Amino acid sequence: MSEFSRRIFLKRGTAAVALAGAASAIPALPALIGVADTQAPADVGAAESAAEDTGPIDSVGGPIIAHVRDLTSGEIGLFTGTDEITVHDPQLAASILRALR
Amino acid sequence: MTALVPELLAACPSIDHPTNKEAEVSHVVHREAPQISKDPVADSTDLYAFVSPDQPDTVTLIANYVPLQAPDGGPNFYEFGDDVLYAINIDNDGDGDADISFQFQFTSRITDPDTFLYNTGPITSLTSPSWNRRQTYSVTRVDERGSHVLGTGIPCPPCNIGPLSTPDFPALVSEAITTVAPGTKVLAGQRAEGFYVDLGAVFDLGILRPFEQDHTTFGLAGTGLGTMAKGVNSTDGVNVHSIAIQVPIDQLTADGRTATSVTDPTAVLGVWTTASRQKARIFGNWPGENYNSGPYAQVSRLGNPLVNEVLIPMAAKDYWNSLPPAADQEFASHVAHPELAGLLNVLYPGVFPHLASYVSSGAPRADLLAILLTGIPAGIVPGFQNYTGPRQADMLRLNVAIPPTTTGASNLGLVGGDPAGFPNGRRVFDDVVTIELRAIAGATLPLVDPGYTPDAAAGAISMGLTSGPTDLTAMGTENYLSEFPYLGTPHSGFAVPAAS
Repeated sequence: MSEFSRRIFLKRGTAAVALAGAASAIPALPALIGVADTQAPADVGAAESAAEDTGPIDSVGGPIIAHVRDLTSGEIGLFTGTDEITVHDPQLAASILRALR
Repeated sequence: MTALVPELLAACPSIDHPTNKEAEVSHVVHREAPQISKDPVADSTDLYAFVSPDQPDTVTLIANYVPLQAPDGGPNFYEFGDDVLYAINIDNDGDGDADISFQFQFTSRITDPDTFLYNTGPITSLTSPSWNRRQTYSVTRVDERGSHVLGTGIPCPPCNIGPLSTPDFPALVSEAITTVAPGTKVLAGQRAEGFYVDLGAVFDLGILRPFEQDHTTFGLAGTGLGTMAKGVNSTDGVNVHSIAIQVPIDQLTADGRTATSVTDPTAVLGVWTTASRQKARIFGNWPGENYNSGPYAQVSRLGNPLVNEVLIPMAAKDYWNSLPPAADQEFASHVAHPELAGLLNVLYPGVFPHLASYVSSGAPRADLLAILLTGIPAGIVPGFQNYTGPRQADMLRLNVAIPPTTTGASNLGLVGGDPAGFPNGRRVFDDVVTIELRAIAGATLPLVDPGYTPDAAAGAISMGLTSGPTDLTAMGTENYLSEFPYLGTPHSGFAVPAAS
């Protein structure tokens, strides 16, 4: 988990979007991740540059599940395979909420 | 208290008296009712660890899941969970964390999607084409050197259905026993339940049928109680799913050798089993299928029998299930001051006066803390120890330097003068309910306080399911085997309920 950075996760998440038929727990999530990718990154991987996020991408190999734990703080648990990362991104959380309405 | 008590208390440095800690715990559990009881494929029921009587250079570890199976429960007979990570864990340095973990993961397969039947003809081999629903599994050893797959695609035997479907069940089991490494063999599948207990009585406000005439009955009339009665084995005729592995002792000890001295600290292994599920689950992601994702979260744990059932408060049981043994100091107060010890004198007025006085004194039960959380240090029981150090952790503690008892074994284990039995590990025939009830009732207090005289009833408590300590065939468990996997051939669906 520790080496599973937000940058790698986002790349894989974007890859999941690119894969035809790739499923997601929340259909709009991949696009939302793309939004978050270009907006102010939160706690996890915040130091990594946006330029890094546009590098080559790999397949995530399966669906992604997002658990928005706290809309105010933007705490979101992201699950894929046997990995979990927690991001703190209020804008991403707000985007997910908008997508649900 | 004698000098032995400070020794034990020193071994258990942080005995918390009941405070408002329960309130703290209640904040972190999901709800007041145990979750795992609704998830039987992940519900660990019993754990056994013993030096193999027929292969004394090995240890046999058995973890049971999927409790109280009615043998005739078809056509979707019992199986392990494909989405559960099962593990048998070994601590060989006394810190309550796993140094070695054997992990088991299962895969189910349907060979004929067009039939509703489990099998369309006799299952005469594990490759029988008439067997429709089957499971295989992988075994992985995880230790300080990494993760090592010992085997994949290992077949489980089917459930024991009856004389037409499984005409030679033992032959199927023999075929399923698989050697995955030198000296290491495994079997995963249905077995006859070996644990015996009178659940119906003991959970009806503590009725012990052999003592029922002494129960307070809360002033109720016409209860039917009042005459000394034999126990009723609640697990008579039911099956369970077992994961059994036999491993050379020198592959489990910290220094890679087989200790021969009982006092050798490396001779003691701590053992517990866990079941874990992935944290996220989506139902109906595909028709009829679910999707699991994320890291595994532990949902079930078992070391010593009855610790979670009898000592841990209901509001904390699922929380306890989620933790490693290394975290058990948090629960030590429930062992040091067991609720049941206080209840015995209430339920059986005047029968346990000495215990009642001890409970009233507020003195911690150093005997129970040692038996269940640290192991028994040397010097308490002559020629015996299974102490793993001061870390309080619920584990079965097995001293592998104590040879198996091949003649004259006692189902009361150590308290019956048989050091090869519980609480030195646990054998399939050990009467662990009687042992633990007697211990809670004060029968083991003289180990740490020779000035304490147990109540006469403490040494007489019994489930009433055996004819005596040397009876190794308690009602319904007569199928024990003398060789791996030791638990008996499961009851067949055809024979039950007819056989019962």
